[in-house]
Amino acid sequence: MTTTLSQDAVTAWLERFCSEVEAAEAHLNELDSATGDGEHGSNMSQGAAAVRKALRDDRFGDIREQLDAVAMALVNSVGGASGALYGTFFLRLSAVGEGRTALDLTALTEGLVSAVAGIRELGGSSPGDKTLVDALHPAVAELESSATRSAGLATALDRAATAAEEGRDATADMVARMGRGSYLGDRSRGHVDAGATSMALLMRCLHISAEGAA
Amino acid sequence: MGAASAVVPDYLRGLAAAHPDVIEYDAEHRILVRRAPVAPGKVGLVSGGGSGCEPLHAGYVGLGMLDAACPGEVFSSPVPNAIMAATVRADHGGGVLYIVKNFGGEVMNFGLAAEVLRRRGIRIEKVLVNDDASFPAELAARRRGLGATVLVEKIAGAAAEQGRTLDEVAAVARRVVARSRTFGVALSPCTHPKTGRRTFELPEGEYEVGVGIGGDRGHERRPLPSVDEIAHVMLDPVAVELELQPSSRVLVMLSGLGSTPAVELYGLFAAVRNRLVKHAEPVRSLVGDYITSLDSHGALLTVLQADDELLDLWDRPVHTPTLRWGA
Repeated sequence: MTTTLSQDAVTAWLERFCSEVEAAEAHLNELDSATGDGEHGSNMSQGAAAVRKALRDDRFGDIREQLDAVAMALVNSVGGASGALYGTFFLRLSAVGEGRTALDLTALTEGLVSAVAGIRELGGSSPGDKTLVDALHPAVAELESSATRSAGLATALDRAATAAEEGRDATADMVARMGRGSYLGDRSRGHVDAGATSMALLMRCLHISAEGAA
Repeated sequence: MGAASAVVPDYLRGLAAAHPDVIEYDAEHRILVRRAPVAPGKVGLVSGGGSGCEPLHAGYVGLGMLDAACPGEVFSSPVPNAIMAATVRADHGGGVLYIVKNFGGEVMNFGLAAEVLRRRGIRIEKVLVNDDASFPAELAARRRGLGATVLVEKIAGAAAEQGRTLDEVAAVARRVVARSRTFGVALSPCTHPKTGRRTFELPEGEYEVGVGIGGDRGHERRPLPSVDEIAHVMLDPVAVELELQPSSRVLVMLSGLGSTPAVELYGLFAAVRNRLVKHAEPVRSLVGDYITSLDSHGALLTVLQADDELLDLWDRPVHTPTLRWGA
C-alpha cells in the first residue's frame, strides 16, 4: 500500500476532478440556480478545460509548480468567487509541494489545513454559511484526526471525502450567509450548496486517486 | 445573440466600433481603455464586474470617468489577468483607484490583482461600493454595490481629471459611497445568455422587493401595488438611511433594469420625485438605463446627498459612450 501521493497521482486526481465536474455541469448549474445565478457548473467546466491544458505541461519540477499552474489556470478561467476560492485552495496547498515530487498524509494534511484557512480568510466565510467551506472544513478536520491516528493514506482520504459529502448534504438546511444566496434570507433554505458539491467532488477524487495509486 | 461565449466580446467590439474616438478595445485582455489624452501623473480609475449590467462599466470609459474597464463574463467578476491588464493601462504614474462593488467575486479578484501589482510597485487604492439600502442593519456587511457605482465613477473621475492625488480621489469616492443609497425592485427576472434560464421565477401580479443587479433576487416578494406605492417602497428606506432633511440637496438617478419602457420609468420617476420633494431638494437627475440586469423589468433608485464640491464634480465635462456633457 502506497503511503504517498506522487506527482502522477496528483495529475490523476485533477484529471478525474475535471471529468467529474464536466459530467456534473448541468447538475451543478441546477443547484446553483436555486440560490445563485445558475452558472457554477458551466464556470467550473471552463476551469476544467484550463486545468487540463495546464497539466499537459510536463516541465513541473515539483508539486508546488504543478499546483501553482493549476491555481492560476482556475483563477483566470473560472472568474467570480469560485475561481478566486479554488485558486486560493491550490495556491495554499502548493506550498507543501516545494521541492517535493510526492506528498505523504502529514504534508497533505498540512497543505489542506492551510488551504481551508486561506479560503476562509479570502471569502470571510465560516462553517455554517452555506459555502464550499461546509464541505472542506469537516474533511480537513477528519484528516487531522486521521493523521494523529496514523491511518493509511487511502483510508484517511476516504474518511475525509465522506466527511465532505456529509458537510455538503448538511448545507441543505442552512441559510446562506455569503454570496448571492444571502440576499434570499430564509428562502435559501432547502437547497444543497453548489460550491460545497463541487468541493465534495474534489475530495472524493483525491481519495480515488490515492486508491488508484495503491 | 451569437454563441454564449461570444456575447461579451461581441458587445465590447461593437461598443468600441461605435465610439472609436472615445474608447479602444483590447481583445486579448478583454478590456476597454480610454482614448482621450491623459495628463502625466493623473490618477487612473479602473472598474469592472460581471457583464450584463450595461452600460456599466465599459460605457463609462472616457474623459472624466474611467481610464479602463474590465468586464467579466455575464454576471461573473473579471479574472485577475484582465484586472491587471486594465490597471497597467490606467497607470499614468499617479497610482490607480479600483472602484469595486461589494460582491464576493469582485472583492476577491480585485484583491488578488492588487496584491500582485503592488509588489510590482504600482500604487493602488480601492473604494468599496455598498449602497444597497434593502438590507437590514445586521446584514450591512453584505450590502451590494449598486447605482452609486455610476456616481462614484463620474465624480471621482472628475476629481482625477483635475489632477488630485490618489488619496484625494479615493477620499472623494468614499464620500460619494457614504452619502448614497440605492433601492431596487423588479417585475421580472432576467434571462441568462449562457444557461438560457431565467434567474428566478416571479408569478404574474407580484414583484420582487430589494433586488440587486446580476439577476439577484430581493429579500421579499409582494403583490404588485400602484406606482405611487412602489415609489414609497423604494424611497423611504433611502430617505431614512440618508437622514434626508428638507434642506438636503440630492442627486437622483432612476435606472431601468434593461426592459423597462421609458414611459414606465419616467412615470415612476414622477411618483418618486413627488414624494422626494417632501424629504429633500432634488437638484440633479438622471433617468434611463444606467445600471441594468440584462432584460430584467424593474428599476433601481439611487439618491446621493450632495454638497457644493460633489455637484461641481458631477457637472464637470465627461465624454464616454454613455454619459457626455460639457465635452
